[in-house]
Amino acid sequence: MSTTNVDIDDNAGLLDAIQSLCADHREITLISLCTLDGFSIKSFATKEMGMEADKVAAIASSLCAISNSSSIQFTEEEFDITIIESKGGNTLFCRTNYRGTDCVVTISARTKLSLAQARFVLRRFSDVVADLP
Amino acid sequence: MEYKKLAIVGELGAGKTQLVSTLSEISPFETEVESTIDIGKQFTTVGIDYGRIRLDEQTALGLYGVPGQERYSFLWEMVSKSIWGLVILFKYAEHADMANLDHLLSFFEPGQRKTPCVIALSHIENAGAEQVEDLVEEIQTVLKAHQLVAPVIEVDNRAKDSAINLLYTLTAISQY
Repeated sequence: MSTTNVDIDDNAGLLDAIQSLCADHREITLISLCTLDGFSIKSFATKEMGMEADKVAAIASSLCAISNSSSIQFTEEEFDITIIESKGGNTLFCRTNYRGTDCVVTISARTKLSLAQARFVLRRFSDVVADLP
Repeated sequence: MEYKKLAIVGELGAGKTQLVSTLSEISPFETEVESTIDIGKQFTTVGIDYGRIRLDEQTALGLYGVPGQERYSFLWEMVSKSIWGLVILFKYAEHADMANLDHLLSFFEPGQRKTPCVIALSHIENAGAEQVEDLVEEIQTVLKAHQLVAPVIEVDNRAKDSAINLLYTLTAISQY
């Protein structure tokens, strides 16, 4: 199986950021950071979610690429955030940068976390990831 | 206007986006991103590339390019419904990934579903005649295991004539 050249082992800061986010928001069921071309760097999912990290990464990269191309076609601007709303919860995707590599952040949360809160959490987390040394 | 669907699936760096772009009469919808691994080029497809070409006055062909790696199989499910034809793009390499070809054939089942199918070899300019022959033989072995009779033809994804030849081949197969 192909693996990314991004260093995915030495990421204690990233792990801390994920743990902190989960502790602050128990409604979150999935957090994933992957490269734009769909390789998982780090992911967390609750047992009930039971998603495979490589599949989450593939879906996230596809949706971001499709969102970005759609956004450019419709508005001539790159996409910002993609949101999937469902009765079971909301899933949000946005781009970030991790140690010089363009990446995708995915956060899925139960509906108890409002969409506005989820957007805020996603934005803040992507900023934290971008600032990691 | 009758609308048909052609799925173009292939491994990393096989040239799916280029093939869709070469064939398409409209500005294609592309989902390439920068690759973080060495695939011999800078960009790779991670979503669905889309283009369209008119076959005749009554028929248009939608071109759907999707990644061939198994982790993108959720996209295969999206494009596999009611496809008219299947192109499996196979990039020439020293160590050809026959397991992936086997997996794609198991998923799309062109033999059982009677979907016209072509195996298109790209980047063969990097190979000698003997190496190409060996590769074709290996591919034919996999096809035989799937009880599938499908042409294995060379394609230059950048050349319109070569890409159109693929469509002629598919159209010819579909008439039998």
